[in-house]
Amino acid sequence: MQTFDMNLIKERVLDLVRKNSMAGSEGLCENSLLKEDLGIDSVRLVDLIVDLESELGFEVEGTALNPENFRTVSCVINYVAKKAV
Amino acid sequence: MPLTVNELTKERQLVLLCSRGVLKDEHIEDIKEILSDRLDWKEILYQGITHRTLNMMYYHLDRLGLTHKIEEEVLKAMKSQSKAYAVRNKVYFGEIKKIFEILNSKGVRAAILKGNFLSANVYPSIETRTFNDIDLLMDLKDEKVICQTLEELGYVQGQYNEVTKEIIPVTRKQKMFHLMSTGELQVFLKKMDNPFAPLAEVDLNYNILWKGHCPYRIDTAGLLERAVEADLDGGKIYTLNYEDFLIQLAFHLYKEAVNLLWISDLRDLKIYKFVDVAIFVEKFTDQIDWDKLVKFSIDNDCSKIPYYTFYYVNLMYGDVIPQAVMKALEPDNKDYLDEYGIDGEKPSKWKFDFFTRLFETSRVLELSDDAMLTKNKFIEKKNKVM
Repeated sequence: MQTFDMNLIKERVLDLVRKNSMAGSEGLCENSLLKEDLGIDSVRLVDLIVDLESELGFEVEGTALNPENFRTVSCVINYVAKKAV
Repeated sequence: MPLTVNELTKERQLVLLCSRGVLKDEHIEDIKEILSDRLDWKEILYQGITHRTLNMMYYHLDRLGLTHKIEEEVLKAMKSQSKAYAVRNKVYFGEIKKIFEILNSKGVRAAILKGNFLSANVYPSIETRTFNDIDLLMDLKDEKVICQTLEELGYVQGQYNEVTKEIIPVTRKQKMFHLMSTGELQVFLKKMDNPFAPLAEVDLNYNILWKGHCPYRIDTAGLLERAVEADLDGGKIYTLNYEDFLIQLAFHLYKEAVNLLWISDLRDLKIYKFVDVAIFVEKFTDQIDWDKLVKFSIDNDCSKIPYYTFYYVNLMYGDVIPQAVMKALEPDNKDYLDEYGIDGEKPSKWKFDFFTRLFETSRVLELSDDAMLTKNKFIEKKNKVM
């Protein structure tokens, strides 16, 4: 995976979350809950993950598919940041 | 409404009697008595096929010297099917041995589940337990190495086109959706050069439970840590220990018996799943540590599930599961024994007794609309990622 600084990671993740959100940019912040606030259901979550993989060049392992990594926008940012190390 | 086996038609009693692994003298007497009457063999044939117990019936009647009592064309169908499954299962055993040879050499632990182990080691003859795939329990942390192993052996994660007879590889998105919405990975397929086993299928299960409104948690890593070495047709494999094997069978039966996806496809209540439990208990009665099984169920707050399975096994086959175990697992409220649709918001209640559900396919026509909504939503989502 390419290395990114934290701001760049945040920016890229927010862009991809926005793209896959039902709500678009409305109310989107790092604390937003993917499902409840942004309407990202299981189908949209799969789209988001595939987008993250292709845009950021890494693979999301099956073990990573849990609420700890995909509950809120900041969870996603932290997960991607960990992968970038 | 038949509430006991004795209230069933003679044909259905025969189907149940001949699905047993071991026949006692009293069972043999009952079989002989039933066969002395005129019987509706189309009913017996259909029930035997749909419940996957036809080969076991042929096995018993052949050994008892009673095949002359079977309608001639039905007997031919029984013989042919038994021979085909003997070949087919043997082919599958070959695949299982190849998979474990590589996994063992890589030091990766996976465990064979259900029919693959049972047909080789518990059922009286190889063809008496049929199965359609290889079922492995794995830890998701080993996903990569196990997938690579299967790919090395020529397997592809895909869907089979029955018309073109080709395997269509699935996309990353489909693999991901499958993994997230079920307890398994997208199935691995391989075309085989055998008319009785033209397609080998491998299911990699990482969870013995189900997704969606499942209140239970069973630690897969723990099950695999406790897995034991066993022999399968001369190959070294791993399977769950006695108590975990039984727990897994019980969970599997419950999951499919009450889940809309299985019910609407008539894959829910199949006699062979109850036989699996009964035959396993009968074979390993001295090895199963019931206290351990009860403790595991209570510690994991899931006693209702083995109770459900064991309750119906005892209803069908008598006191297979010891009464003390049933008492220890018994929940206060037993309404759930007649409920279905646990994957939805709220379960629905069956309008029929258990035996009618077991033998009458028309039960699916009575499924509640609310319950079907859950299934339809899932199918809709699945289609979206195609």
